[in-house]
Amino acid sequence: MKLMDKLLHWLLRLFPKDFRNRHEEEVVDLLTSKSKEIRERRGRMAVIFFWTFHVFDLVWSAVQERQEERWSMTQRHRSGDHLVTTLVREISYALRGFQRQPMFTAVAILTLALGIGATTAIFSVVNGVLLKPLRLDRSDELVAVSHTAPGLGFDEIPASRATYLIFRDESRVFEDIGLWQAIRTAVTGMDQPEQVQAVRVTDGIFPLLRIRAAIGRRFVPDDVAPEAAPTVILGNGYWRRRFGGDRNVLGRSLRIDGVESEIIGVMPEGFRFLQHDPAIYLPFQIDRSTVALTDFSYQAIARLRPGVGLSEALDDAARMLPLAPKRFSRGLTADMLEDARFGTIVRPLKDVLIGDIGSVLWVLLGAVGLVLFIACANVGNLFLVRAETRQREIAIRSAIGAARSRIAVQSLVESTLFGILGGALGLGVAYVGLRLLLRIGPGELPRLSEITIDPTVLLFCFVISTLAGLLFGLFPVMHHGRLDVAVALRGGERGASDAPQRHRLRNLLAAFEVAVSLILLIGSGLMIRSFQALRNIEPGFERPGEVFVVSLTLTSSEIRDPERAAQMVEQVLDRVTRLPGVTSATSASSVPMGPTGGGGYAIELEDFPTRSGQLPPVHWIKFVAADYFATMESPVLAGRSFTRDDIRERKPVVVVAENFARKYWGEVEDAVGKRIRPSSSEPWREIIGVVGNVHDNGVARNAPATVYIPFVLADFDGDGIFVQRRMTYAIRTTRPSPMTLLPEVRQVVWSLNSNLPLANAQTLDEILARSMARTSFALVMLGIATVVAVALGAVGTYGVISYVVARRTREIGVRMALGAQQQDVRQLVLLQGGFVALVGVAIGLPAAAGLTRLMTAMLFDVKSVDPLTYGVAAAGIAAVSLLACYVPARRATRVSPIVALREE
Amino acid sequence: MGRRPCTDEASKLTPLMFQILLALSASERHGYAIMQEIEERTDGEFSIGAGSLYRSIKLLVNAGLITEVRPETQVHSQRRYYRLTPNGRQRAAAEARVFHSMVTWARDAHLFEL
Repeated sequence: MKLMDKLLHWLLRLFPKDFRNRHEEEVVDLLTSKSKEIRERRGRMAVIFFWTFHVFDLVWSAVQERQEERWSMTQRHRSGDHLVTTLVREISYALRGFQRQPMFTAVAILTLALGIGATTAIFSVVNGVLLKPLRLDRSDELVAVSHTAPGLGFDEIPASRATYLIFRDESRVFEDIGLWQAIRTAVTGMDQPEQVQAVRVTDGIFPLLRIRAAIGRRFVPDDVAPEAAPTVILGNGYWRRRFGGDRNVLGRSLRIDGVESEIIGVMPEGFRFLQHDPAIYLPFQIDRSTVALTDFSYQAIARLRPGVGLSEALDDAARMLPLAPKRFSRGLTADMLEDARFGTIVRPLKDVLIGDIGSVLWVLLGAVGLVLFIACANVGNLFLVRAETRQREIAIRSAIGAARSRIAVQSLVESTLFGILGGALGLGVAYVGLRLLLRIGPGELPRLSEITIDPTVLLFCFVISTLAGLLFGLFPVMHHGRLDVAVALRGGERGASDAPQRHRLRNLLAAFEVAVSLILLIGSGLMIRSFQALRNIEPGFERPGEVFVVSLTLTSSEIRDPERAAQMVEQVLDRVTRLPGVTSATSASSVPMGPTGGGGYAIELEDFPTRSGQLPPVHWIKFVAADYFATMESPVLAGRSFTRDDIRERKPVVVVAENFARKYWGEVEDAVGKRIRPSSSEPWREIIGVVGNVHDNGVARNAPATVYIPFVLADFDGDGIFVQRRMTYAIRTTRPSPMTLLPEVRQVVWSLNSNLPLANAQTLDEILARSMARTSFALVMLGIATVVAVALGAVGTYGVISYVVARRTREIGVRMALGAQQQDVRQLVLLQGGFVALVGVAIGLPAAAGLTRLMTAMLFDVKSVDPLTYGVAAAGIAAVSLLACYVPARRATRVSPIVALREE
Repeated sequence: MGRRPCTDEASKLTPLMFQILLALSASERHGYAIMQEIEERTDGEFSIGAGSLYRSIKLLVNAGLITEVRPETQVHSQRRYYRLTPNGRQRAAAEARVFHSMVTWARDAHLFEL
């Protein structure tokens, strides 16, 4: 607010002194009070509109005040020519200029508003996502802790209970460490069963984040003890939605996954748990006696002690890690840790939250920055043209004694004022643009809720507006610097107009615009090529638009008996298959590119025994029902797929992906009949078939070497019968709109058990689209920037060539009178435009080669220097430039020699 | 465009000036309260810029239609209070009568039934 006050006082200098003396404090007080009130009642956006409106009103009122003042006092000599009075005088002079030339003013300000608005919008995303510290107390001390095991082929794996306990007990660098896991849970016992997002947290998490419950209390060590009474903390949104914000909710119970849990607290409003916004928080109960050094599947966050750096934390982790196999005798041994080259990764929490979106955002900011440059060049051109027409005026002013510096100051003041007015309007553009952007933005864009137009963004907008104004204001100054007063006064305008060097600056500007448009065009072209490459990859399944998916968990509280649960999966599939329009149905621990299910297991191969004490290779296991490959339409390359009997009779069979077969046996056929098992306590399982690879982790990632196992096993890991209870059902249908299946599927499930909630209903192609979301987001954004840039660039070229033609009318008239043909004249003009385009392309190509290297991380299967893209883009921009010249060229051919010469 | 000189009488009241007079007819107020009163009375139909508001106030003071007063208790030192002068009250009443006759006319023309 301090900043706003200052800006306001600065703006009020526009008013005459006596008005300021009387009302300045009042105006400031009124506006700040009112702004505060609006902010409280109608939010930040309303405040922005409020300020935009009042700034315009103030400027307008100031102009009127000044005019009246001038009217009432006749040429009273002004005292003192110090900077402020000079500025005020120049501003009022400029403002009157705006009134005199409304079209010029409107075009210039709108162009600037477009450029500044786009840049500000993207900057507010960069600011909200990348620059702002996390909304947590002293967030720079917060780190995410995970592990690495390059010896097992894992660059990064999550933390485990064992390593968490070791770090918590032994650490010298962590103030505290906590473990968490995002899960889905079923809430029953209220009107409708509901699947909600939950986060399990250890007792240390909230204290180390410095978050208190809004009502009630946080988890304490007793809540996470193995036999503790079940408790739950509600997220603020869920509390409002399901309990109407009732403050007496403490002590009531909520049935979560069939367990009555006591509500002990409600989290504060607006609190999000890192990237999640869970409905409920559950205590992460850990029984030390059962902990083994396995299960690397939880997230860990820690707070460093004040003053501790990341490298110290890593050193301390390296000291603690060897203690783990000693303390927890089950699971990995010290030798295995050594073989796996097991290590710890400690990274700032913010980096983990942001992920790899950073590069995309910086490139986008660069792209809109280039658009702003083009906008500036265009406005600079307008100013140049106008400066030319105002030569007489300026010459007269300097002839009667105005200093050159005064004329330069006046020009700069005027352009800066343009910049600032453009910026004020640009803020409105940014607001609208931001709304649009957040609507099309990828759902995975982190920290979405923190993107706002805040004081930092306002300051940024102000700074770039001023800079933009100064930048294009320099062109006319350079121009006037060379002005020959005597020639101009003599009315030398016409005589001088033919000299080609006078157009050099303008031609250079136009060439520059062509170059920048070309860079953006090439950037977009590369994104299009990447997107095409992604689309061309066979994901491993066919026609995803026909596949309806929905997840369903058979909670053990509802269906305790595993046999019964297995039967129920079959019953659901049977009944769903009989629904009209359904061709086949299946279920699996996860669908391709969907939320992960199943897990990584150490797979033993009969053909390739591992030394004792050595860890067998880890592969992804997916638990599936019959007809999985048929429903996905993944090809069976050798052998056969699972039959219903395989699953019902618990036959020891397994299907592997092509990558798995090739990795160990070279040929897919050779894998059939071989035996593998996911743990030494399991019987050997025969590979009955090999299926095509599926890009399970997104199209841009390699297809994993997956092992498919029936979802119900006779004896898994020595725990007796095992049923995968959390399954995603995939249903292929001929219905034009697969989502119409949802009510019928729900009916099927509820006819078997009305306490089972369904969740995440969608079609497979929606999941596929999401896995390309980042690329398509970048593509759309760059595309918009490019269209604006090319359009502005074409307008710029058009403007320059038109102007040149207009100034050369007389010359063309003479040429035609002397016998030049229409095509000669057309050629003359096109040649000049072609030269501008050529220079632009010559500058743009190498610049693009340099700049697009920055976007390598966003590209897929295309090099940043791609000859095809560069060629097409250069040809395209040249064509657009020539097209922009064509209109003025035609106009030139219509010049009538008589009319042109009569003007002499 | 806005070239009209400021006359002593503010011979023509702009709608905003008239609204300011109306807002001050019940009691003396400061600028912020005048703005609030006008926005409330017109259901937010009018957005008044701070610059325009104080320009109009200045003109009305110069024309002697309103006057600045010192309130007894000063909460915000920078706030000035304004009061209607007898002249101003007459002027507002005259203006209101003109408007009233126009509104009656509009009603006779059945404009309110649209």
